[in-house]
Amino acid sequence: MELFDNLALGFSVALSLQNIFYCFVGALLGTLIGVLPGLGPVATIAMLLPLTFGLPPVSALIMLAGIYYGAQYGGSTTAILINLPGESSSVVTAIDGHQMARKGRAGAALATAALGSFFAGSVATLLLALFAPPLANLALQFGPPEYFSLMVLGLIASVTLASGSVVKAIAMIVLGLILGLSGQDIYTGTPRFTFDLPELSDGFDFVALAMGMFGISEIIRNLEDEHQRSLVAAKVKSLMLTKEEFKRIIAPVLRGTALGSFLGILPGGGAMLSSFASYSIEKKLSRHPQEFGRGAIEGVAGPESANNAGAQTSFIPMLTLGIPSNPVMALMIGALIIQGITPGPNVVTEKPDLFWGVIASMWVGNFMLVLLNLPLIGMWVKLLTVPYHVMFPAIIAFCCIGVYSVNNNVFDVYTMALFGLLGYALVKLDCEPAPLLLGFVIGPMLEEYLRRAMLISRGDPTVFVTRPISAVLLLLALAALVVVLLPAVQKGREEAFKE
Amino acid sequence: MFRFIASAACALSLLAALPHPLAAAQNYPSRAVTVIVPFAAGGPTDAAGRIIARAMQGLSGEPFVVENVAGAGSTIGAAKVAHTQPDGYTLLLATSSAMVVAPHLYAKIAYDGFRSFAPIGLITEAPFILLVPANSRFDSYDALVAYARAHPGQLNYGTPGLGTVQHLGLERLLEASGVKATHVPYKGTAPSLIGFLGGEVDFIVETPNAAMPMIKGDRARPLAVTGPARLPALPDVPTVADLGVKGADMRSWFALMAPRDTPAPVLATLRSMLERSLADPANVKALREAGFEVATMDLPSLQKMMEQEYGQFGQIIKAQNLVIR
Repeated sequence: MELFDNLALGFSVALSLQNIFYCFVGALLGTLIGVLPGLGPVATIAMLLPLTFGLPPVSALIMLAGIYYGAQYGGSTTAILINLPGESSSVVTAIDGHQMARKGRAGAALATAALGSFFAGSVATLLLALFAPPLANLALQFGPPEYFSLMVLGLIASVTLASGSVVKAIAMIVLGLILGLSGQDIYTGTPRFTFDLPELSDGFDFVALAMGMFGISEIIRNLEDEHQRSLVAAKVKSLMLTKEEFKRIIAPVLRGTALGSFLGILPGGGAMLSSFASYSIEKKLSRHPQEFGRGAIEGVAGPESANNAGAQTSFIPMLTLGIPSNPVMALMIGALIIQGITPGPNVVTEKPDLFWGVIASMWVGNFMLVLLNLPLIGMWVKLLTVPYHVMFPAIIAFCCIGVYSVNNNVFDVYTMALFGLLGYALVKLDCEPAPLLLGFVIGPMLEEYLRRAMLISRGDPTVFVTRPISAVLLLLALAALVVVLLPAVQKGREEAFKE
Repeated sequence: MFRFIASAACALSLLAALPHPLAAAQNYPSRAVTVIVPFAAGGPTDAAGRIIARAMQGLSGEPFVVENVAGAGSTIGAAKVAHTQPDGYTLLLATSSAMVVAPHLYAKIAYDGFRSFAPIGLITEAPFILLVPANSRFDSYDALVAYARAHPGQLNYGTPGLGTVQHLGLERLLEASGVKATHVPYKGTAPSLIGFLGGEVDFIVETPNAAMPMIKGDRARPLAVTGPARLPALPDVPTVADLGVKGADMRSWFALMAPRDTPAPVLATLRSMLERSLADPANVKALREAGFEVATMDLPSLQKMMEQEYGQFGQIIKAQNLVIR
């Protein structure tokens, strides 16, 4: 069978001593960088790009891919331990992961993330190997109307992210949408809410916003009261999952993997939706939804799997079409271009060793991540016992470095400080930051796709219902709306939160 | 009076404390040089910037560090260089969008495309290729124009954004061909390519480095080249001039620039270093593999090309009423 030949070729490349080494270096570097709050894979890869010039293209790409999923995993570690998500995908992990950590279950949350990610990564890689070219063509079927409907669905589902009041959740989403309006309108060039600052012409930076809303505001809150600091609140119980916990994560991991694998293919912002779509689904399906937002293990298992599956399948547009689906992929394409390879539809046939080698290395890399991270869990959890007055200056310093490194611009550091204060005020008002962040991310895309769809259809709104994929997504959105607003459900929800 | 003397003395001592520009120029470069690439890391411009930085580092022995300062149509990076110390330690990888488009497009801008910079030299220049999807009904530029003439505004063309060279150049080409089509802007090159491959738009223009893989992979069909001559890789694809459309050439180029008041000896050193880098076959090969053909130009010609483009883009931006306030 051809697939086996291809995979054999891939593994022969990926398992060469040199490539195993680069894969390990990549995964290790990625994890370390990901664990440092604020430093994400984009900054890391941009800094390390010159190192790859001297490597053969396959090794370069294997190392960069290792950094990418390593950082993805490492980012979850900070989200769980110190409530500091470094990118949109780990925003969701922070919700329940950090609550678990506060209850002394940081080890279990980290183990769940590691195992869920490993499973999801392996399955998504298999999908990649089997169906990459047809999946890429499927992704191209997603035009502006489909993306718009997907974003509508996402926006409605994001209400479920909040564990408290629905009204406050909606208010937070709207605030996020408003913040997302800032920047230059892409269809007319008109600056909106930029206050004549050129730095605002592309809107607020996501990393600065997330770091401020989660990281900085959390620090201010912890400093309020020396005794209620979240990091050492509870004694650390066993590091591993209990049998019952293990049973509880199986279904969420499976669902998260399926969801993430699919959404990851979509280059227009699908991967970003996967982790919180998974969270919404788990919360709706769960037999104990009241635990969500208070440390439900499903709320870590599902999104983490979805996130990692999406991270793997987001390679599909790059490897088969040569088109990056996120900034990290753009950097990898840059690395390949410098190596003299222009990624495009022909990479599979012209450079089979590169294509299959990278795919096989993803298995190797995911396996290494588990080997690397399960023993490290104990160490990370010990970090929580470091006195907070030592810890928080370090966190702030790294946040500043990380935020600065995104655009090499001090403006973003000020933005982070500002949103830190806003985030603190919101915490005091019992408003949760996660829905705000999702509104902020989805809003601009929603507008972009709506207007592009209308532009191409010459103002005919029926495109959203006459295109089948879009119609189905809108129906799902309607169903989600009914579930959110249905009075009976609402009542049950409020009762559940009374205790 | 005493005050005046004191402040004059202060000013003089401050002046003396400043390193003498000539003395500094003689052993230039004596520390790391920053090359600002006004785009996010990973794009084609970034790739070329890094190849040049690596080459100049090899010649000078001092590190040439690429710093990506993206945003606001590459004007943030350009403004940063325009306002740094003109000592040759901060250079700009300048593109036409920052130099000859942005000054017209943005009513408020923190530099002057001409007067804020001293050119070191041109690095590369490339025409665009007009592409339709491989399954398009148009097999020639004439067929496309004929359809657009019969159906004004019905065809869509995609670009990486409002006010990009692709957008303004295509508007000029369409105007010269006497037809109208609808502009569909995307947020950058990658999304515009996804839109093109997904069949959302009827045509786009792309530089050869991005177009060739799509042509070879049978996903796009080239209809015309927007440069003065046909491309060696596509000998059958006519130029727009071959097709009878005059004065509608468009190209992407980039050049290395320094802040305006950089001392002449430093500029001379940089110019000779860039010249030697671009004459080195290894660098020519690296740039070619990254999709760029090295193009050199003497300084007066570069100045003339920029002036010409400055005028052309100004015209089209005014005609289309695109100024952003």
